Amino acid sequence: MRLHGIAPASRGGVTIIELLIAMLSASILAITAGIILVFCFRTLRANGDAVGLQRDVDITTRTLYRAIRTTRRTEVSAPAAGASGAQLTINNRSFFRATAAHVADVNGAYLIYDPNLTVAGDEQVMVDGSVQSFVFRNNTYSIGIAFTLQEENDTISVDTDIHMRNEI
Amino acid sequence: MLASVILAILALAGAAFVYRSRADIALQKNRRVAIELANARLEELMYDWPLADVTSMVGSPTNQFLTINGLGNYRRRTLVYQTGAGHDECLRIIVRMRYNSRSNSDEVRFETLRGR
Repeated sequence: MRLHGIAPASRGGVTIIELLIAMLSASILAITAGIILVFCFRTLRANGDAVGLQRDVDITTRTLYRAIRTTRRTEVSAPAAGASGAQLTINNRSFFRATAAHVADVNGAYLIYDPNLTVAGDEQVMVDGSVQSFVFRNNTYSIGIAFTLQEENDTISVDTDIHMRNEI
Repeated sequence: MLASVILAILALAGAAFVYRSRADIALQKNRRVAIELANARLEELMYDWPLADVTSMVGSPTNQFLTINGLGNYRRRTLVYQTGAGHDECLRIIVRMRYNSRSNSDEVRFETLRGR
């Protein structure tokens, strides 16, 4: 017998059960892929933060090593010998922790390098917004630097002493 | 079904790759701090310590255990050797700082000479 010209035994399509199973499988696949994608993007962002922090540490330590090693103790005006602070001033050059307005402020999150204190507007931002703490220690013949940089996903801390080579 | 399995394997491989990169970058961060700690020790022995005190360390390796980024108990080992006449009787100072808690062979090694 033919029904509207099509034999029932050869009719195409899927049953509702087959459709539900296919939808369930697709949903599981989509959710799994979504979770993996979220994980990957979070990790990539954390990697970006970590690399950025290491770059900032590298720039900061290289600059400070060069500045301090070529300095004489009489050229250091801040902090005073035996004291510590968030600002290091060598002759008319200064490194300091600052706010976004670049005004010296121990609560700021920026590390600023001012190559000439008598010239306005020549400040350079060495660490941009990730400084959690920054302390310079004047040990008379060496300068201690202790700082922590923090991004949303990562933290890095450095504490070291750099000697003034012209004094030894 | 086969396509789904292949897709899942590729996705997991990609995720594992990204996760591995995270671990490598974290290790590099420890290494960056270890360099500073090793250098600080060298500066201390070169410029803060009297020569007699450094000389007294010859043949007696010193171990210190330090934290890196607030974690761990990483060994910083200092070795001082007496060099021969061919090296003007200098002291050879070696500082080795570990930075990987899973591998003792991962360490920063700094070396210098201190004259008399």
